[in-house]
Amino acid sequence: MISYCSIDYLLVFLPAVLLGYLVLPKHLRRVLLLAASYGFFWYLSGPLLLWHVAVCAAVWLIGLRMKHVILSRGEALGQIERKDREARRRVRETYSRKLRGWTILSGVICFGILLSLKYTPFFLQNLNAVLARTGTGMQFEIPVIAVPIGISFYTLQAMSYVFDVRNEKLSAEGNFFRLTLWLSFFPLLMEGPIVRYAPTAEKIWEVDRIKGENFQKGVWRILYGVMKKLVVADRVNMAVELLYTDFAKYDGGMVFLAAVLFTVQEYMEFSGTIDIVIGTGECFGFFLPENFRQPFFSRTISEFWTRWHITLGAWLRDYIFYPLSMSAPLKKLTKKCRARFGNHYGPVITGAVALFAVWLFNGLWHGAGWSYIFFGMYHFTLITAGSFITPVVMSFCEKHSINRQSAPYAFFQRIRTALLVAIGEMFFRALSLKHGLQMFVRIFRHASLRSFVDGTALKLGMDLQDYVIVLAVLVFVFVISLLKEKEVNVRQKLYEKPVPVRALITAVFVCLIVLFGAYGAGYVPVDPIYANF
Amino acid sequence: MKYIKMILPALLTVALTCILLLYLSNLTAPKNNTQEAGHDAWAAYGFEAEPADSIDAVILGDSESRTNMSPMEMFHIAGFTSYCCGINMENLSEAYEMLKLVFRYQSPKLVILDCNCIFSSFDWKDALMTTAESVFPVIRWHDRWKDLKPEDFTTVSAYTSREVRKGYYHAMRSNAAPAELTDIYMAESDDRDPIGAINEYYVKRIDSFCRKKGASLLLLATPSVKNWNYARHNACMDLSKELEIPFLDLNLMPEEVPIDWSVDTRDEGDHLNNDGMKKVCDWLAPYLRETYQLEDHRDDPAYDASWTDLYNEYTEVINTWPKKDSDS
Repeated sequence: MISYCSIDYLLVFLPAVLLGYLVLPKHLRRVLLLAASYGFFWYLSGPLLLWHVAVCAAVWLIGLRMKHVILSRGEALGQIERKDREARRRVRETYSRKLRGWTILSGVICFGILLSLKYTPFFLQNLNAVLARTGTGMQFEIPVIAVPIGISFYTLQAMSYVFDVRNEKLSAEGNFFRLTLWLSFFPLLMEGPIVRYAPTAEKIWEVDRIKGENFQKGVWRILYGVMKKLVVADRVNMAVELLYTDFAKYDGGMVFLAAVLFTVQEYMEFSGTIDIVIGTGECFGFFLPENFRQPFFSRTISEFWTRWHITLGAWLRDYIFYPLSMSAPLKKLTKKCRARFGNHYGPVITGAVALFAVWLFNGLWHGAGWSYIFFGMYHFTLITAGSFITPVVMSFCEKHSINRQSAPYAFFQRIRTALLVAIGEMFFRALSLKHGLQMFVRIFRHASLRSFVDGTALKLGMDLQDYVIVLAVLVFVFVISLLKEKEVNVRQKLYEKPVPVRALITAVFVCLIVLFGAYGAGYVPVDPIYANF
Repeated sequence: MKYIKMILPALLTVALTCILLLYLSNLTAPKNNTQEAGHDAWAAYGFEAEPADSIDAVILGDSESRTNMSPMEMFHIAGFTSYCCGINMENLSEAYEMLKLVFRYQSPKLVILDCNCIFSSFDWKDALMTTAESVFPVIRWHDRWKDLKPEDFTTVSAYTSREVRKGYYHAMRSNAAPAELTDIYMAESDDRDPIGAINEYYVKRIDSFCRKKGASLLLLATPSVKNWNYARHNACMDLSKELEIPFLDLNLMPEEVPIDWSVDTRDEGDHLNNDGMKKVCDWLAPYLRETYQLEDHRDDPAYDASWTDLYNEYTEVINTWPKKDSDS
């Protein structure tokens, strides 16, 4: 599969689009971006592009219908006296029902396409398993269904547009092509970030001319992403493949290494791709939202999910967690729980109900498989358990005079969080939930560090130099992350240097990637992990 | 003019990047065409170590080209010098780059393109990478950063290791081709194996390069039951007619090249072994000398050191199965 780190994209497609954008007049730049986006989609998914067009058309038409309903409601309310509250309530209810109907229809279309294309085989596999137990002998054939690239991403984006129109956070878009460009903008197609309509669509549609500063900073961001992907993620790929396929051959230390290496690989691949995506946007002058904010500086799992895949977390928060938490039944439950279990545990219990829905959705969104559902439930359990034991931990720390704000305690929390994340990622990457559980058990039952000293670790397709270069890049990323945490804008500081210095920095960066990249003979590039979701 | 502030720094960046990449290319490239120096296709590049303009014919292609013909054998039979620059799994874009490199050191009158390579699977990205590798060899050799020694920083790459087999990959072992292949081998047909657009484009580039350099190009299909069939023959025949390049298919010449597939192949009909290669050379070498008027150097003292005197060493080498595969 093509990735944003491929020759196709970096050396051919992106330069061609940038060049076209540079030379074309403003009104043609929109045409170029739309053509490039659909061309890119076609290149990746062929005629499956039609599913994307169908989603665009559906949410555009439904948005317009909703706009009409909202305007009609305004007119109807305008004809009723303010004092007549009952009549006004009835009007609101009537129109609210209509809006709900349109929202449900859009959900049925968008999620219907997603579910039928992506989840049908999973559903039928499980149905077959159930049928096999009934002894009827009835089995369904599992179809092989081609799924358009990034369907999970653009479906969420499309639904966010519908929800925002319904909640009157934005007015429905009248221009079909403007909506389509936002929903198909080529850097966003494969791995997000999941952008909202309001801030992004307008900026893209403005198609301002390319500015030197944005272009330079965009190129640096792209190179940073390429380095993460090419030097680290692709380099550890063979070891990850070996360890996850043949984990039973290795001791607990190696299985734990598998968990750590995949966590490193996934972070470097996903955040690296997002760097390329955001850098691409910056080159054009579009500032896309960040999807990562130094996730491994998190002190708790809850915090981790505000720093990792931020736009997915925000989507789940805004469109699942808040609406559920604010729904009448849950409000009622919170009241009851508060009275019964107190001010801490009461909201935690009802919050867990909304969180359960969020994490079930999160797990399923990542993929059609029990290991993904388990992954969601794993994080749900950790976050809920964290909320439950907070008072216990606080009183324990108070009793033993442990300063929860001290640096050593923060360090302990960060290491603990990183370990919990790595375990979760192991289940995520394992070939099945059964394999994930077996790997987890193996870490403890066959606990040993022998493989690290007897040379096994160097027989995984990675030699000592590979480990050294991976470590060096991770240290570099850590330093950059630390500076970001301290709100130091590294690229701004570099940009303030004289032109020859900036040129030299870029040239050295390119050369280091060419020299230390894991490509060519002996390497198999890792497919974009999140593009399959 | 409004973009001038952006274009100048970009040009400076590109220039600096090129300079640094050229430096890294020199740093990482093997300093000699030997295995010890880290070269993965040392035999194919041995033509650089031959005396300048001493090679009459070069053979391009994939593993078929380097196993089915032996330059030293052909020298012994017909007296002209040749070099086999084929590399395993080589595609046509790589063959084209190799050809350009050959003409920097040698001036062959004849270029033989083994036809198996014409059906190699590659795309424009592979071709782009091949071109990039030829401009900046660091792209090919970048992984050698792991093996860099202090001398790599001070010495310049020079391929001086002369290959006694002149690029030929020898094998004594015999592993008969299975009946299911030999039974249908070269069964007449009107089918045509498709030649990819990019493959055709590179054959044309090789052809026009040869014409520019005044060299003759020959499309040659050497015997292989596993890789060759009538559909490929037809496709190459069409191409040769279109480009007006001679095409010779040894698979259809059992009387001239009597390959016995039960003993003359080393890997079940994929490649020939030494005996099979000798049968090919016995017929091919005189044919090439006569057809292309290649000079006989066997009595020329200028060729003693690099050809005539090496024949005994060559026969000794090829008659001894290497201790390990990498030796060959």
